[in-house]
Amino acid sequence: MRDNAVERLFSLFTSSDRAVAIAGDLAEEREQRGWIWFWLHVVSVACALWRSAATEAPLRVLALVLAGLALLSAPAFGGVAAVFLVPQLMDSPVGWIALPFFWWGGALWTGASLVALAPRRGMAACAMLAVAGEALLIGFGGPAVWRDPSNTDFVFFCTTGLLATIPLLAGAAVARRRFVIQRPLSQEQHQ
Amino acid sequence: MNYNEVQMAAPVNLGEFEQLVLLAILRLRDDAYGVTIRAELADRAGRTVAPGALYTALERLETKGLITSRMSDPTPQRGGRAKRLVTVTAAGVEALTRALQAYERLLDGLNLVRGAHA
Repeated sequence: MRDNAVERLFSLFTSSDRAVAIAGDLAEEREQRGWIWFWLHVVSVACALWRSAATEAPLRVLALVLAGLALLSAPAFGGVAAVFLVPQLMDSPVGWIALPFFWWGGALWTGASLVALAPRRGMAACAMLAVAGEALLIGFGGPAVWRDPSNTDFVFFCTTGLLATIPLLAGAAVARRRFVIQRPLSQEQHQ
Repeated sequence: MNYNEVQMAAPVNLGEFEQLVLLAILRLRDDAYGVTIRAELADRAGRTVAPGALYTALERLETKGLITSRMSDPTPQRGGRAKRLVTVTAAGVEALTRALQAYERLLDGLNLVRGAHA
């Protein structure tokens, strides 16, 4: 069975024909080495491709991460403002919907924008932004939630923030598929 | 990249792993792709190479213009996927030769290969 998911995963960080060839190599060795070896190496190859895309031009990727933070900040503050600056929204269903709407919508837009800005490295920058964001939220928010789990507002903020990585990566993946993968390799290599 | 451009360009320095990969590709001739390169490195150099390390090295070598690649026809044992066959370019051969000559000059008189370092 052809694992299109594996090809799609690799093609987030490299050209589509390279992704097909790498997935084919792993599938060829899977017959001898088994499924566990296959999936472990799918993850390790994806991480290696991500690291390579990020470290080839570290300053450019750092600039993209900072651009992503700047792009995220507007909807992030918009979401907080929508919840806290309108007292009627506090503790109402609209308030609970407004924050994820702003944050997740902003994350989706940021992911797509970074890939549109830099088709070759935008995905790597988004993944870095997602990992850094998760680490910060877990590092700072986790202990606070542990100390006071009854603070539902804070738990809600942290959960919404943690889940924002999904639309961030989804936006980047959709944009990469649209802007990069459907174009010939020769065009992508010059990005 | 033609021969004159190779001569004019700044010399490319190769790391030890890149040298091994280029040598493996040269040995494999027309059948050099991810699986066979890893097998060749394991058989001849005793190096177990992680696939991720090899693919990023191949991408780096191709970006430097030291190898070129082409896609083969899809095969059933690969789930209908094509192989990415690689070959070493003239620039790759030159960079490898330069690196090996440097080793030779440094090894000259040491007799390390026979284990009789004086």
